[in-house]
Amino acid sequence: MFSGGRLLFLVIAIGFIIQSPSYAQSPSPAYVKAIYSLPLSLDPIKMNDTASLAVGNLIYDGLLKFSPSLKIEGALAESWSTSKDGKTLTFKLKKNIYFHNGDPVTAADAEFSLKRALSSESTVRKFYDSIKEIRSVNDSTLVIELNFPFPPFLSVLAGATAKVLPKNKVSDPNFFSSPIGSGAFRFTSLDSKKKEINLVAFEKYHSGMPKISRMILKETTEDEALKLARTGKIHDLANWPLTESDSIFSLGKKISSPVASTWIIGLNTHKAPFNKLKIRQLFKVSIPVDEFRKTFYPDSIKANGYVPNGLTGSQVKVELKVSDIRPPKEKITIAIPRELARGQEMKEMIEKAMTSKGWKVEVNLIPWDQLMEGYSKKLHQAFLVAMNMDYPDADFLLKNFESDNPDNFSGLKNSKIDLLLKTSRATQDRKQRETYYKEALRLIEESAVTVNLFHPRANYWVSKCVQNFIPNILSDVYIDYSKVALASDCETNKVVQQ
Amino acid sequence: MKSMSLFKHVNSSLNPYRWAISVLAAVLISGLFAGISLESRLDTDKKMAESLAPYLATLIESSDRPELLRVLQSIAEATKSDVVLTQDETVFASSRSLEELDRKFIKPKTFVRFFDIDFGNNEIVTTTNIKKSGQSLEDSKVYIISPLLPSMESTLGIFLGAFVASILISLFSARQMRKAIKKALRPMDQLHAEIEGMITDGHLESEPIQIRELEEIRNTVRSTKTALDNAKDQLAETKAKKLSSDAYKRLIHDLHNPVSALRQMASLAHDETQDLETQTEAANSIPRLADQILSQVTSAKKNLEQEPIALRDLNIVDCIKDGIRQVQTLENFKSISASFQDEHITVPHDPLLLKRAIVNLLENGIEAAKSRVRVSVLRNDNNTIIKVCDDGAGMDETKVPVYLQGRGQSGKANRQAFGLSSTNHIVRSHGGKLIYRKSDLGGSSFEIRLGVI
Repeated sequence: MFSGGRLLFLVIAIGFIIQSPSYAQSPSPAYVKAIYSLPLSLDPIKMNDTASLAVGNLIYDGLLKFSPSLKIEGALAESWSTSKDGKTLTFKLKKNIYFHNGDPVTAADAEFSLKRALSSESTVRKFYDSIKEIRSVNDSTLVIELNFPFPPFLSVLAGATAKVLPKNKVSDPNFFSSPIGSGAFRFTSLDSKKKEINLVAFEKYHSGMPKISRMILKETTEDEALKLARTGKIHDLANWPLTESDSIFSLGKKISSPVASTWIIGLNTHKAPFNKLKIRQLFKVSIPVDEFRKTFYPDSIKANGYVPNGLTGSQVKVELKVSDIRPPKEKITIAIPRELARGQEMKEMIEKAMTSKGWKVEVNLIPWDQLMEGYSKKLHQAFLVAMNMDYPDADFLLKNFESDNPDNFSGLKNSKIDLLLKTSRATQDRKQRETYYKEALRLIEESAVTVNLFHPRANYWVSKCVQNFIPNILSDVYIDYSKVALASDCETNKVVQQ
Repeated sequence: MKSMSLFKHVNSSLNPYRWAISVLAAVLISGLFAGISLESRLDTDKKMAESLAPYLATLIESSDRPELLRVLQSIAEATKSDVVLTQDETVFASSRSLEELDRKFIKPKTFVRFFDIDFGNNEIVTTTNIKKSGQSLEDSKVYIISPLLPSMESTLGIFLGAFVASILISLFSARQMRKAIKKALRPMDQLHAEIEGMITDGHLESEPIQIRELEEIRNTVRSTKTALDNAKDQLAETKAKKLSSDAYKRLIHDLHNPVSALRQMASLAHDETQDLETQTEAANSIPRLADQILSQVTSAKKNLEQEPIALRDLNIVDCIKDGIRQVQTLENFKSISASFQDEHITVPHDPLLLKRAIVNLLENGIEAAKSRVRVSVLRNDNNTIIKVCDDGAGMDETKVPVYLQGRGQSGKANRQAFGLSSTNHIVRSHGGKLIYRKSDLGGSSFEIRLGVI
């Protein structure tokens, strides 16, 4: 996870030897979901990776949540209202809501949890910086005062980091080793050796007990996950939005949906020659975007710009005039994850295409963790990443380019963009805010700090035994597993014998 | 040919038209209602999409898919349909599935287009172009895809409802029509009853008939009846005159012989050429002949003094039974047996006079009978024969005409003579004959022969 954008490496293959799990016979079948990585943290305010967010969303609940089509619905909140000036939000909590340990969920817990998100230890603080004050009026009423009216704030609260934790338990130093939430599934164990997280259905879940009684989240690579799926030992490969034509789909269900994500090649303005605007612009138009998309991700959606389709700002198109510019003499290195299934082919294609246009480009396939480290330390000249969104508003992605944002991967500093983003956040009028967004995006596109490759289309594979699997157009993080069920006549849990 | 009532005839004649018109009207009315319902339903969908078009256009311009999905979901719930919004023929938002987003829109196959509405095998597709401020947003459309069967269910329901209602109204109307026909034909029944009454009882009083034509018929029947009665009276008068004339003629004829005999006896009594014995016998015969003539005249006078005959077409058996009953109340020692070939024999007769004639014959028979009298009624071609027989000694056949003429003298002071003479007169007045025969029972047998209608 990178500031402003959730960076997910979608097709990673973490190189470890799969320890096929051996599941003892149990009274009820377990739902086995393969994940590309165990969560790096189970603390919602420190979740910077999609794996952590996906697991967190199963264990924890927030005040609000997203429906599959991104409608904001009440989770722990029964109802909510916004004051006329848009600065005061009042939430009424549901009755009979409990944490996994049986304690009732109160407004004080929600106040405590949101204040944690604003604390110095929080890595998601930037999402909550519009908050002025949080106070619980009584056990079931929470009031949030904002510094300025910020319409997307409800989306922030429906996001995967705005989770409610039990106030009197979090101080326990071992709390996040065995976390307690109020989500659909109760954490039971993390087996580091087997790389598995075991969850069970929370019987007092406020929306009704989940239909899956047990869930196993199993870390594995894409290749291994596909093998396990073919042998009927895994129910769910949703962590890997596969290519539509993958032969695995002949063995299970294919559930397809767009997701709010953009694959980009980020350009670091601190690294020459990308410190020069014209060079960045020429590089941006030189990358064989269409060829890349059609060759490697043919069912993805063409990217008009940085913001994914279907979100305000996605329609911004900027034609860059680069006819009088020549490629620089310096070599340019693009870092791409080594774990990409066809990484070598990608390397060859990009290098060949750029060389033919006079560029000296080298594509380096490097391990995911090194890429991440270089990203956070802003060591790469250019890098291939997927930008996911935590809430469906262009503001989320635009934050990446604020001058004072430590997660500004491009190092871009543009006071106009800063002003536009600041003004847009304080603007309640939808059309007016849209104008600011578009102008900011136009400036970002002209700055040429991203080469927008495509918007992926998720093709989720689930076993034929899986029912009620409904994708979420924001991200697989928000898939509602409390409604997912296993067909009674399916026994996929003859799973994996070692 | 089987006859039927006028009501049934009218009702059955109207039935085919009534049903055909009812069904046709029901189909047309229900079809009209169903068509209006379907058109209204689909037009509502289209109008809803059109009214939301400016807002949808704004959201498309903003590329605000989450909000569009919410709006389309609301439209879908309101219209119970799937709603798809396309841009450049690619699905931008859809209420039915997230999977089709950003894919080429596959429009359901339709086979007929009605205005702006396409009908397919399983759905109805209403297409609306997205417009903003009167200007069409290029290649942006909203498709409202309604499942055909549920959409048609309500239409079909309305069709059936309207059809059933129309049929029920038609049935009610038919029932009322039947009542109306019955009511309309009531004057006919009244007329019929009145004509019957006129014929049987001569009853002419009635309520006024409201139908002019029927009133005219009734008046015509009434005047005809009156004319017939008058004609009958005239005929009876003429007949009475003729009977009277005939009686006089018979009297004159019957008196001819005794008077001639009287003249001859008077001539012999004074004919000195005759011997004394002859003269004496002749002289002695003169008072006897004079008595006979006097008796005959007296009997004829009595017969002529009787009330004039009034012939009516009635059952003669009833008349005979009345006579037997009358006689039986007087006689308990001798049996009277009766046999009738038919219980209903209509003969024109005057029941009072004929009963008197029968009673006369029965009384004579009882008086003469040893133990039994038998009455039988036979029908023979155009005649009705009433026989009264007894098992007595019988009569001298040579003297029967004398008795029939009223000249005979019985041991009952001319009673029988007067009875037979009267009976003969009555039978003749009816145009019949009174015939004497020896009875198979050993006594007398008198036959009354009357003409049958």
